[in-house]
Amino acid sequence: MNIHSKALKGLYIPVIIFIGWVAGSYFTWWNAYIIPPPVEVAAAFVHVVNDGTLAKHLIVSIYRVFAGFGFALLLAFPLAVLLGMNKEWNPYVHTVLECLRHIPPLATIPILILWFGIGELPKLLIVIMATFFPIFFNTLHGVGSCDIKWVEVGKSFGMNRREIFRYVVLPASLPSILVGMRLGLGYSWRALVGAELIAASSGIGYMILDAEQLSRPDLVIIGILTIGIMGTLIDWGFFMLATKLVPWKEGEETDYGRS
Amino acid sequence: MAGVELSHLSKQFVLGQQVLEAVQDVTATIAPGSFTVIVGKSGCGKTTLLRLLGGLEEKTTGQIHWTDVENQQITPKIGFVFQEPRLMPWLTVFENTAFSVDKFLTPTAVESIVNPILQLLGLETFRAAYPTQLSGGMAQRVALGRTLCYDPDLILMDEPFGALDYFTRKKMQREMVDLFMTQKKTLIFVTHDVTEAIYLGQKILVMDAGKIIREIPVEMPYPRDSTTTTFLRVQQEILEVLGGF
Repeated sequence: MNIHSKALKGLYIPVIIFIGWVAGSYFTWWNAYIIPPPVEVAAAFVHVVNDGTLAKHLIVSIYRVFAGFGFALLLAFPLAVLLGMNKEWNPYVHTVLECLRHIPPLATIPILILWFGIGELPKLLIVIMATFFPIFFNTLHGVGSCDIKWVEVGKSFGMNRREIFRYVVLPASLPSILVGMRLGLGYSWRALVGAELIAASSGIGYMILDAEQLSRPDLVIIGILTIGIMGTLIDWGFFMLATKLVPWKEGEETDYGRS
Repeated sequence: MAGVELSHLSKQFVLGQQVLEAVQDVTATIAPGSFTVIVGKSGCGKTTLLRLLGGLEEKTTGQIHWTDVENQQITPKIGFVFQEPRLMPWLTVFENTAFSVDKFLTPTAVESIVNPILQLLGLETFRAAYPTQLSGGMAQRVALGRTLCYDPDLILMDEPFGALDYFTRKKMQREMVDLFMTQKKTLIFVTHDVTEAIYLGQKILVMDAGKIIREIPVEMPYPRDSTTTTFLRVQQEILEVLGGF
């Protein structure tokens, strides 16, 4: 099956939904306030694009996602590598991490607001919390489960621990690491929009909340669709990057951990 | 080139309550530049002995002394070819072959080391291929090439052709002999295949239950013919020593 027919098949359901939306609005199967007609949503979309509102909020959200993601990567990656290469340290941190992993980042919002107010920091922390664990656990798994047979090859050529890490363990665990990063990116969007819905004065989540308070369901729909489309685009970009970085898996039907 | 003297070398594995004597009191001398084959049944300790030599296992007791041609003690560069190719799936044939080369060399220097070896092993056309795209014989050739690029004084080979089909195996054995004649390296080769042992080795160490039970020098010129009387006589001797034939 070629890529075009695959992409085409993926469009069938959205097109059917869209037709249903158009028809339902035209024949007034539902109240136009509950589901505004496509024309109205399109007009609102043109408006928020033209006056820069959408771009402003989107940029803020994207910035938060990538900043939080970057920090989480800086924290999770070295920690996972250290623990993966020194398995004797695992018992010390296992309980704490296992417990923290089950806490949804959004559950910490009240205490984060109490400690840090409603500035940028709590949102960044929410994204970091959401992104840390998928990156951490996937990297740990990748580094910790590297085939001993490859490590022995490195040893047999007189490589030291650092070289074995650089030339054997790291490339061997790259697919796992990328899975973790991709999962983390997906989680970070969810957590961030959640945080913006609760306490923010900008961002896509705030835009949706604001639209709700102004009784503008058309803007709510725009906000929701924007999140979905942005998430898909970022995920796709990351997938392309992963395919480039992991060329030996080319042609294999590997799914880099959809979130 | 490096040789090795083993004296009273032993290796025990502790498995739960049991102590397994994989290698027991092995004493042997392997001359620099020679081709030695260790032959024995599965589980006789031949792979463990090889891994001890390669530094992949710690010895329990005994001595391993590496020597050069003048019988001086040295620390040799040892190359190891495993039972399976163990190629890195993320590297191409060229990169896998270059894996053992010093990482600080310039790309041109690496090319000048790797290219002749790819040519020697008939791998140039596959240089950009990934390991999953190779046949078993090709993959094992790359593994051998990787070891040759390391330019070791001594190459240890652990049943490298064990997983290959009959025809590929025969071809690889012939290439092995050619390689020995041209590369001037000490080779220690482990196999359970008696014919392969006689085809390749200048000296055959027969192992059973962790011990070397017979040393058989084979003074036949290469390439060897498995139908000659000398060949058959050596074969008969090994089979008798290993019992039950």
